[in-house]
Formats: sequence, structure tokens, C-alpha cells
Amino acid sequence: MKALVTGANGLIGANLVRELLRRGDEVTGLVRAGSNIAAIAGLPIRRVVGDVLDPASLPAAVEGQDLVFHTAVAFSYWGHEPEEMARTATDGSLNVLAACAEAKVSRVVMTSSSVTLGASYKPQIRDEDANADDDPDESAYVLAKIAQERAALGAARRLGIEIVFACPTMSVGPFGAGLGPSNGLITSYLADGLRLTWAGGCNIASVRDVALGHILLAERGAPGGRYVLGAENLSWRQIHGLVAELAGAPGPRAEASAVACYGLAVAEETRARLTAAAPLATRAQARMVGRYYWYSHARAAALGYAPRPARQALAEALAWLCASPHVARETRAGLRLTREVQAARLARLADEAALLSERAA
Amino acid sequence: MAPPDPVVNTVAIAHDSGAAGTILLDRALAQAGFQEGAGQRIEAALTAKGACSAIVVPALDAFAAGSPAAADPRLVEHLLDVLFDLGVTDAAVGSTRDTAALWLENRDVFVAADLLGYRYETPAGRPYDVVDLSEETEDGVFPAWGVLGGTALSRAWLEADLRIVVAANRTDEDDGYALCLSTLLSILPNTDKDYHYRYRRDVGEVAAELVRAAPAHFAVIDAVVSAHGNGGRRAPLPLKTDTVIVATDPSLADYVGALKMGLDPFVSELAAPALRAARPTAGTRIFGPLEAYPDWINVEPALVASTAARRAFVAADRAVRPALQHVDRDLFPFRHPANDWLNRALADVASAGDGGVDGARLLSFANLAIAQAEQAGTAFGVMFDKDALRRHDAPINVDPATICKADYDGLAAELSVQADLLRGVVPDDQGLRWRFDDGAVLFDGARRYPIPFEAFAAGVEIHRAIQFMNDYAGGRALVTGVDGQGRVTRQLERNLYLPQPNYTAFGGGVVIDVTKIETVDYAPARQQMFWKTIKSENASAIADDGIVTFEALGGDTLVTIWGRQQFCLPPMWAVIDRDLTPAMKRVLVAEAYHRFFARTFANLEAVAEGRDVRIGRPWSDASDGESLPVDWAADVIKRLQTQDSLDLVGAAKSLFQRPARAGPEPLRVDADGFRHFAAPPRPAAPSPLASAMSGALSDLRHAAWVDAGAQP
Repeated sequence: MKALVTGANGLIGANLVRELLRRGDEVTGLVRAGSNIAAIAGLPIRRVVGDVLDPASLPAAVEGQDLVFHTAVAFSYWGHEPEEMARTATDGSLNVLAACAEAKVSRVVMTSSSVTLGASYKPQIRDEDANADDDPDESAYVLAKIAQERAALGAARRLGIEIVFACPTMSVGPFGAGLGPSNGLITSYLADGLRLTWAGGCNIASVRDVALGHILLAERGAPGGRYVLGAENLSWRQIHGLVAELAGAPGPRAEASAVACYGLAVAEETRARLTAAAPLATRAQARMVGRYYWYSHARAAALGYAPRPARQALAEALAWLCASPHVARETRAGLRLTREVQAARLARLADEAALLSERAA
Repeated sequence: MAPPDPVVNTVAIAHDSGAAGTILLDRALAQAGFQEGAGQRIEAALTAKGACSAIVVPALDAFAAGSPAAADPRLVEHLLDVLFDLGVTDAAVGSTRDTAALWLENRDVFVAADLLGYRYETPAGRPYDVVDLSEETEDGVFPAWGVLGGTALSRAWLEADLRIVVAANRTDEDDGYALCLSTLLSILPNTDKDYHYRYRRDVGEVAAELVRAAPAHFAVIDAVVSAHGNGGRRAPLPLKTDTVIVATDPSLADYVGALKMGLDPFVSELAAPALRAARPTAGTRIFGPLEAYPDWINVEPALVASTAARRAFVAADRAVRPALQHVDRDLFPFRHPANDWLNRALADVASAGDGGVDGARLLSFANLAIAQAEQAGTAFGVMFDKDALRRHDAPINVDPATICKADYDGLAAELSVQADLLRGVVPDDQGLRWRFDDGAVLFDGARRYPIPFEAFAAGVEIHRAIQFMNDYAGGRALVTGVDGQGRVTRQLERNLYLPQPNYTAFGGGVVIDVTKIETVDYAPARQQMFWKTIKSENASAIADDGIVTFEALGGDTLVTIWGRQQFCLPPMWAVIDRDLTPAMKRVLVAEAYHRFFARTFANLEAVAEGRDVRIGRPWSDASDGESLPVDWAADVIKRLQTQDSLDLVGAAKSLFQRPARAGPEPLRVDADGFRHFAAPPRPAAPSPLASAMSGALSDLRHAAWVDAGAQP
């Protein structure tokens, strides 16, 4: 099968490319000019330089494909203007769908997000029937993803394209052009000398399972359907405790209040502005404190989706992060990785070597 | 055929209060045997290749035409005529851009030479060139393990048959005086000389290395009109001294030049190492008066010392120098208006008083304040922010030829016996074993990594193991032996570590600076490295010996580190005799080694993962060094101005804006005296700052609701 992955160098895109290659598919990756492609460098794929906001650049990538995975998105709580984020999400998706219609690609899997299902202030599990409110106080990313789903669904109907929405939860794991907010939550905890946790919770999934889930939805997802691709619902204290245990770092010492988190985020943003560095936390993230981003992936599971436990997902993520510059040297010097993490690193290296040798053969 | 060396080291001092500079130069040249010494070289070159080239490197680092801080161009051009008369066929004046070129215009060699009075033609009408010695360079001039390893040098200088340096006679607040050796640094290629040859490296070692590798054949000090006083090069105070000094060696010229200033020649950090190698010996001839110049004022020792202390704060020193330098703005305008403004405000203050004495005292005080800030900042960095510290660039400081085979061969046996002294010591709960031995600590610790031995050993080169240890801050290794597979088996290594224990940085603790000999043994499932300290440049350590072992253990790797260490505490900490409180001492020692092992083992694991674990910021290899503080500050201000949601600059400005007048201005007043006004403006959109404040309050209200358990 021939498949196009937009945003092939992103966290989900880079893992999706690998899983497609493992199946023996012919993969085309769409990346923007000048973007960091280290995550897919060396992989046997056709790379097309283009931009989902530039319709003229898309036909070269879409032409001849059996399937399109649209993962390209600006997932960020810092450094992107809200308008830019919204435009990439909606206009970019509409451009991709238009190009698919033109190239007679009849099925598209679009990466949305579980945040479009909303979140609760109580430990409640939500499913695909729930929807986030159009609350203007929501972060630009959440608003962009809500708008993307609506716009894409309407356009797909008009254009006669089968679209399936993948709604990943907090996807952690290896590869990706930069440190996204999901993996960033792990590194932030490791870098936090105060070892703070906070109220609320999140659904943690391995990005490799999310990638496999995309392929599953391409094969079996109902047109127009939304599918949560998640794994385990955990409180932040549990997540931070697991990260600490796996990394050999101290566990959470105290639970910061929402007001304190907001204050710390303001301080971090100020530091970031002065030093031109990325903040450890942002006000947009601080506004999420106290909420439970808990979801059920039962609908995807009914199709065969079987994610690994959160502990394994975190071990794999740590194995990659701790060997990368995303974990500062000083932070790394205070860690003692468990056997699980080292095993995950060695397994990833072996998988990568096997993938390259298989494809070369 | 190599040109013959001058017959003997000679210095000639020509002094005559009534004579012109060129006459004094002729006399000094004659007394120094210049005609004979240079003549031999010229003749040898003419015989060998039918041509003879000469390069004269004058002091060009002045900031006004006719400044006594520069060599007088008339004297230099007269010297060129002397060279032509002796048979030189091709003569040039050479130099390079220096640090001031980063903050002043017109510091290009050709423009600066022109502005300072060089005419490209000698008084006798012979044309000569001005060359930029940074343009065509040659690698491999300096030994790789030395302080200038990897530095290129001007091909024109290296290939010249005759190399002469002409210094101005001047005091200097960095070194006490700045004569021929200081001027000789201007042949080094990098533009930011302060950055590369003072902050980053030991300037004394640089000068000594330069003199060793590519010496000048003759040195001249133009002391006809000198620059004395506390300002030195920075704010030159002219004094007629009617003297010219010529020497067959720039170090010797500096030695005598400093004596003439009434100084101990070794006060100069820059000159001292070279002087030690070239001080007058039995064969040295010194002609002329050695008494000090009358009315001469030297830089106050406190100012020299405080300037040296200030240099440790690189950013501050780079920010301060443009502000203090006396400059002819018409010739050399400032590149950045902020430097221009600061210079107008501060340059005269720092050189006020008779001979600059008042300014010197004020400047010394300011320098010490900056130095104190630096020490506090460094101590903070050592404790809490190691990556903010600069890495140390320390060359091998032991001649490899002085280490014999027996020194290497006996190492493993010697250390293994000592390692066995820990037998019977019960490991503590973290696996650490240790005991005291003659004031040193013997210790060992081990960690099992769930990584196969082959993968671990491939990721962690054992001969680099010391570089991965906790608080390693820089150094260099020189491989002196390899096995048949190209693996390192012997090496010399200089290591610098942050002050140990780290908290001593708050009381004068210095980096641990140790030079070691090392051997490495390789077996199929075991690798072992041994090291022994043979020198501590700053006397910071008495012992730092050790063994590191990597061995296969099932499918894992076991790493064991044994060591024997004895570090010297700074005086403030040494007054506390820890032997009087053995329980406390044991706690401190155990805590220090727990920390060492936890972080060292984490580093080894990280290296196995392919990470760089070096601490600190590397020095820039760019010729211009790092961006200047003034550019950095301007960038921060610009960034703040462009952040709509955090316009701190705009907010600050608004505090100082005059309030608007109470009433609106009339558009016109008609003939009947009625005043006509425009319609009131629509309410303006809230400012970005007001919006941000409003958003923040809303967010805080939301957060408070969450904390109170109420659903927002």
C-alpha cells in the first residue's frame, strides 16, 4: 500500500512512518522546508518538501497514494501564535482534503486529539460521544483541534472522502523533531528540583501504540468516526511517581495548588522570554491543572486496538528522552535508570537496526 | 641552510635627551650588533634564494595618531630603510586586528596603519607593504598538546628571513607594562585577542609558546616618548624618555625595558614565563644605562591586581574595556552608540588625578567589586548551575619526553597494592567502601549496568573514563601509546575539576588541577585503566590516583572505580581542623563520595547512551569570540520590546511619560472667541499590558476555584 504521512517528522508522524515501513508499505513523508528531519533521517521513505498551508505543494505528495495520514499540526503551548495554530489545523486540513479529492484518495485518517472530547474537574472517564465546550478560555491548541474536526468533517462529506479521526491522548515515546508537550511533561518533572505534582490526571499512551492505532483506523475505522487512542487513566501523582521510579529520581514531594502552578508558569514564561529558551511550564498548561483528561478507548479496542501499559510507555519514552538533549545534563546526572528503561533503549535500537536492515534487504 | 643565530644575546639602550629618535635607533642598533646579526641572516637568504624578506611588527594598538602607546611610524620607517640598506629586498609592516576592532570602526590593519601615520614608503623613498598577518596562515606550527595547539600562524611571519618586533614603551594595567612580548601577540590570527589569548588561555603560556615556536629575531622598544602613568595603554600619559632599546630577543628587551621602568620584570603575567626562559645569563651583554626613567609613574599594583581579578568575569571585562579606553572618536568611532555613551561618561573618570592616581583607585575598587560578583557567581554556578560555568582549556603541562617507559610499566602494580588496602572494609548502604591513609582517602564503589559489556565498552571509551567523572571541567589528553588495534594504552592527561567539595567555592576553593600518567589494559571481557597524579599546577591536590574497571557480568556490565585522593582546602576552610571532629569528618567524606559515585555512574550510563556529559559552556572558536555584552543587552531589550504581552520596556517608559493635559486642545478659535473641539474619540482598545493583567486575574480566579474544590 502507498501511504502519505503529513508531518512525518513529528512525534506521531515519525512513529507512524516506522510502523508503516514495518508492514512493508511504501511511505511518502511530507515535511516543511527547513524543518528538523532527524527523526526520519535514514529511513527508506520518499520525502516531499511542502506545507499543508501551501496547496500547490500538496499534489506532488498526495498523487498516487492509497491512503493519507494527516498528522501535521502545531501542537504546542508556547511559541506559536493562536491564529497560526488555528490556520494550520483548519486551513491545512482543508487543503489536504482538497488535494486528496483531486488525487482520488478516498480515505484519510486525521490526527485530532482527545482534548476535543473535553475534560472533567472530577475523575470521570469520557468517551467519543463527549465534546469539549467552545470555551474561549481554552488553550489555542484545544480550540484549534475542535475547529479542525468540524471543518474537516464538513469538507470530507462535501468532497466524498472517508475521514476517520484519531484522538490520541497524551502520547509519549521516542522520535519526533522536537520535544512536544507530552514528552515535555516527563522532562519537566525530572527537571523540577521541587518534585511537585498537581491535581487532576491524564491518559497516558505509547506513541507507538498511537501510530499502530492510526493504521488500524485506516483499515477498520468507521467513516466520520472519532476514536480515542489512549491507554491508562492515571492521576498526575501516579504519573509523576512512575516517572520517578523508572528514572531513579525522587518521587513527588508535594502537590502544588493551581494558584501556585499558575505563578510558577508565569515565572517560567518570563524566564523563557528573557533567555529565548522554552519554559518548563506555561500558563496554558497551568490552566489545565485540576482537570482529568481521562478517556476510554473502548471503541478503538473493539477494532483490535490493544495498547501497552502506561508504565511501559513511560519506560520507552524515558529511554529516548534521557539519551537526548531534552533532559539536561545536570538532570541526567541525578538519574539512575531502571532495567526496564535500559531494556527499552536496547530494544528500540534493535528495532531500528532491524527495520533498516529489512528494508535494505 | 638555516640562517646563523646572532652571535650572543645582546641588549643596547641608547639614551640622549637631545637626539632624535632615528639617531637613537641607529645607535642602539649599532651597539646591539644589529648590522652583523641581521646582516648574516640577510646574506644567507640572498645567497640561498636571491631575495630577502623582512617583517616588522610594530605596536599598532593605539587609539589616536601620535599616541605614545604606539610605536612611532617614523621610527619604524627608518628601521625599514636600515633593512633595505643592509640588503633586504622585500620589507613589510605586519599586524592583525585586535579586540578593539569589535567595538571600534577603522581598526582594520590597513586603515589603522594609515590613520596612525604609516605612509607605505620609507623616508628614503622605498615602498613597503602593510600586511594583515591573519590572512594567510599555516597550521601545525605549535605542538598539539601545548597551549596554542591547533592555532595557525601567519605564513608571512614564518617565512620572513628577518622578523622584528617594535614595541612602544608603555605601562599597562593588565600586566604592569606592555612591551615586545605584548606586541608580539598581535601576530596571532584571532581578532578577539583578549578572548582567545587572555580569558581562555594563560596569556603567559601563550607568549612563551609563541616565542618558542616562531621567535622574533630582533626586538626594539621605542622609548623616545613613552606612555606612563596608571592609564597605561588605556589612557596614555606621554613622557619624554629619549631612549631606544634594541635586543636580540624580545624577552630580553622586555626584561630590560621593565627594569628601566623601575619594575620587577616578573610582575607581568604575560611576560613572566618567557622571561624565565630568557633571563640574562653569563653570555648576555647589556649596553647602556639601566637606571629608571626620571619622573616615571607605574601602574599602581592594586590596579594591576584588581584588573587581573576583573578579567575572570569575562562578560563584565568585555563590557568595561570599551567604556574606559581613551579614543580619538574622529579616527575610530564607536560601533555601538551605547559604548560611545558609556565611554563619554566613564573614560575620564577612570583616569582622573595626577598620573591617573585618583581614577586608578576608583577603578581598582570597581574592579574588585566586579571580581567579587564573579566569585560569588562562580561559586553559585559550582553549587547550583554548573552548565553556566565556562569550561577550562588547559594544555598538557608536562613534557611527554620526561616520562619514561618504567613510569608507565610500574603503574598497575603500584596502584593494585594500594587498592587492596580496602580489603575487609564493609561497604555502606550505598556500596561505598573507604578509609583514610596518610591524610588521603582510599575509596571504591561499583555499579552494575543492565547493558551488555560489548555495548557498554563501545559506548564508553575507557581511556576517556576520567573525563566522564563528576565535576570534570576540562583538560586535555595526549596519547603516548596504542596497541595493535589502535586502542589507547598509554597517555598523559591533565584534568581540571570543579572545587572539591563544591561548597568550598564559597570560600576561595579553586579548581582541582592535576596532570596524570595513565595506562590501559584490554581483555575480552574486562578493561582496566590506571592513573597516577604527577603534577598539580596550582597545588590543589596532593594525590588523585585511581583505577577504573569495566567487566562483563552475565549480560550486564560491572563498573568499579577505586581511588586515592587528597585535595588541598583553601585557607578559609583549612583553618577548621576536621580531624578534631572525626564523626563530622566521616559524614562529610561519605557524603562527598556518595555524591561522586552517584553522579559519575550516571554520567557513564549517559555516555553509554551516546550523550555528551561535559559540564559548562564551551569557549567559542570564532575569531571574534562571543558576541559582545553590549550586543547581547541590546538584543534582550529588543526582545522585551517586541513581546506584546510582556512589554516591560514599554511599561517602564510609560512610568516616565508626562501626563496628558487635563483638557482637550481646541481645533480652532473662531472670531467670536468660541473654541471648536473634535468629536470625542472612541474608547481605545485596552493596551496589551492591560489585557495581559486582566487575563492573569481571570486565570488566578479560575485557579483559586480549582484549589477550593469548586467547579469553575
